[in-house]
Amino acid sequence: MLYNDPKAFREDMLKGYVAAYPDYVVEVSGGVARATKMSVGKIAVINGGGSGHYPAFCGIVGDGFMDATVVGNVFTSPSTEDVLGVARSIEQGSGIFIVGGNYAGDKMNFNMARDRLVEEDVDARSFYITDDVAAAKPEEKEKRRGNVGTFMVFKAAGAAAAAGRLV
Amino acid sequence: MEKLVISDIPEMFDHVGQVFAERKDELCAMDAVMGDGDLGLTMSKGYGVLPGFMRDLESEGDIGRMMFKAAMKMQNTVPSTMGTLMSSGIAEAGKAFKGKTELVPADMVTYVIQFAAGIKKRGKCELGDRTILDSINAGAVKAVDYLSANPEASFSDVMAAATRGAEEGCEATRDMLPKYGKAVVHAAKAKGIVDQGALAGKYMLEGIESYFACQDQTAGL
Repeated sequence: MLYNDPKAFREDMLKGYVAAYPDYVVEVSGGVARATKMSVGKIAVINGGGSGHYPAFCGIVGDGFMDATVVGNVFTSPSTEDVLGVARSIEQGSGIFIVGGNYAGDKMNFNMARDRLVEEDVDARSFYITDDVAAAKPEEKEKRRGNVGTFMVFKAAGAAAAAGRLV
Repeated sequence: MEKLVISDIPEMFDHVGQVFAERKDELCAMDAVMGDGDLGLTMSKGYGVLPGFMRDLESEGDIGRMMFKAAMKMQNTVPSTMGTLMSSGIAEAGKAFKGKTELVPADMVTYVIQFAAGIKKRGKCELGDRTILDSINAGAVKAVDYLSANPEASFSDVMAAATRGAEEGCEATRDMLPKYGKAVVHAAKAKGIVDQGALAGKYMLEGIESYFACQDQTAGL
């Protein structure tokens, strides 16, 4: 066979990615996390989304950016279990901030995971970015989806958490 | 059929899976116009695996816990918007059935009501937003009305009422504009067309109705 099984696309892609960048990322259940140690007391910041656009979120995992990212299947929201797997791999008792684009599926699944974490006494919070001005009129701006502007927010959130200024 | 026991529930959802297997191409074609084009695949895959998850959990001995846990596994298998909404509906019904070892016809009315509540809670959608809620809620209203007028109604009667309500709910979506998810982008194409999510909701209820119809047929009713 000249190509991998399409059903194992996400798993194969993640294995290849972490093998190519072992100094930066490690594979965890549901996605990848930073390979470097997080400072004590730091709030973990994660994001996530479907696969199909590369390296996308796996490429912004690291110090001062995302501590981990949840990787769903091709153009599909990650499941709640995926988000929980990533969150549990990185959260160290100081809380976790989940940031994502304002997509219906992502938002529901991230919020379900956030609620489950809160039930486990983890200080978990979520925030969704609505920068796509073409997606809805100004009077319905809360319905706008996340687009390229998400990267600036991911960076700002990651930098704020690394500097201890995310509260 | 006067009551359902835990071992009957997976077979009931087998019928839902069969309906979605038959409707897969139709739902994908509708979704290709208004969404991602994968709705038929998501539904047939999700409801295709659900009965197996339930059978694995039958030893729980509690219909509610079995439904809740199986719904969570289904969500992990089909985490797209509609997969999550469907599993939220089943999970919410599961919460209402916690501790139950058998269900009577009135419980199936509760199932439809709780299913709608689960969708509303997780999807943060309202009636009239042109979503699955519009068909399921209409099904719940019809089933409640039918049961209050016919307290001795059978399983088949209440599910037939729910399906009739859902059908009316689907028709009503022809005049609604999408306010939720990717369909918003395609709002101009929505006029006069039934919402594909609402239709998926009706098919879910039809699947359950077909299970009870089969049971009645086997019993010679």
